[in-house]
Amino acid sequence: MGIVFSVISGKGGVGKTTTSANLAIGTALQGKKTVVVDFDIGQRNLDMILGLENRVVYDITHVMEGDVKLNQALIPFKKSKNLYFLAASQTKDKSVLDKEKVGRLIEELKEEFDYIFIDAPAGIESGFEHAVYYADAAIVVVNPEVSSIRDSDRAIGIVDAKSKKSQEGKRVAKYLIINRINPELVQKGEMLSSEDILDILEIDLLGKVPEDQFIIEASNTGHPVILNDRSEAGKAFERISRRLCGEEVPFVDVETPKKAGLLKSIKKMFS
Amino acid sequence: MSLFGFLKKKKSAKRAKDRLNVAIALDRDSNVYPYLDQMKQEIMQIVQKYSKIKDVRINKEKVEDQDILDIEIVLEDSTR
Ligand SMILES: Nc1ncnc2c1ncn2[C@@H]1O[C@H](COP(=O)(O)OP(=O)(O)O)[C@@H](O)[C@H]1O
Ligand SMILES: [Mg+2]
Repeated sequence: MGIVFSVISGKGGVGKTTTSANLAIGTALQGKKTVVVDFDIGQRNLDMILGLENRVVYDITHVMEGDVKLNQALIPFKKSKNLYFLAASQTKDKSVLDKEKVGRLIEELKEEFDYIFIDAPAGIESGFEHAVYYADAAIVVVNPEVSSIRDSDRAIGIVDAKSKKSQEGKRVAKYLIINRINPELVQKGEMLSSEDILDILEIDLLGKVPEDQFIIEASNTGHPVILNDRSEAGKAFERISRRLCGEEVPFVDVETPKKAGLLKSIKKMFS
Repeated sequence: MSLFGFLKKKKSAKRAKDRLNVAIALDRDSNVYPYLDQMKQEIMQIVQKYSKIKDVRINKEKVEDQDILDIEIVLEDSTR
């Protein structure tokens, strides 16, 4: 039986889709049979991030309405035979999500896959509750910034109140990913450190991802950053994927700026 | 910034942390009973079967570590 990870946040634009794409690829490359589902109905994005936008014929709504079989809607990812993708529909009408239908879809996915990643809409969106209802674990993505952190605490509250597992009196695991860390600012004391954020939110740390220019290139080309071995964010996502596969991977300090090369430091002295 | 400016001015990350701690504590407190409004409606419906009521007031209190829901049912003035 597969494990359902809902990738969530309070406010939008913090990196849920980026995280979902990279962790799905990462765990698939680790050998887990993985599917990543775009649950951000009406705001289909994950297809482009994965470079699969031209392959989408059927989406999640077609499957839930019984128009097509699940296998007809699953899109294979070229770079790993273990990874499949299920697209969101582009209709704005979120009422297409119905608890029973979502439940049947998730059950079917759990039969076939080890890991199921759900790229959720932001915590304030109406589809959010559906995206977390069947979660075994929530992966909470935050930026080191006040509104993102505050809103994430509310989103965590919704998971605790509304998910199926919580209602059955079981615990939904919650893991934190701090994304877009700027080491220079942390060192200057002008950005919340991961330690501060963990103190405030009181949940377990899954990983720290630095701000990284390569992420823009990755979304331009449709090759997620985990496939780029020069990218620090890519390496961070790879470490997180290994952790999700049960490997003990030490936390790397991404909050101390990399030593600038000699030339760079000299330039700095004169600037 | 002056030479010793850093002694006076708190770094902004520290201020962010302090402010977040307060804001989140308040948020959590107000979200402990998300069902409160619905409960109030239902209590009113039940009590109204037996007597005329003006209002149902629900207060959350904390006495030491114990959470207490204080439910006050205000009846219609019957002496009139
Ligand atoms: N670590 C990072 N470094 C630089 N840019 C990032 C990083 N993470 C995300 N982004 C950018 O932030 C924007 C929002 O990310 P996205 O994954 O779409 O967020 P969400 O799904 O939460 O709305 C995108 O433009 C993405 O490229
Ligand atoms: Mg998104």
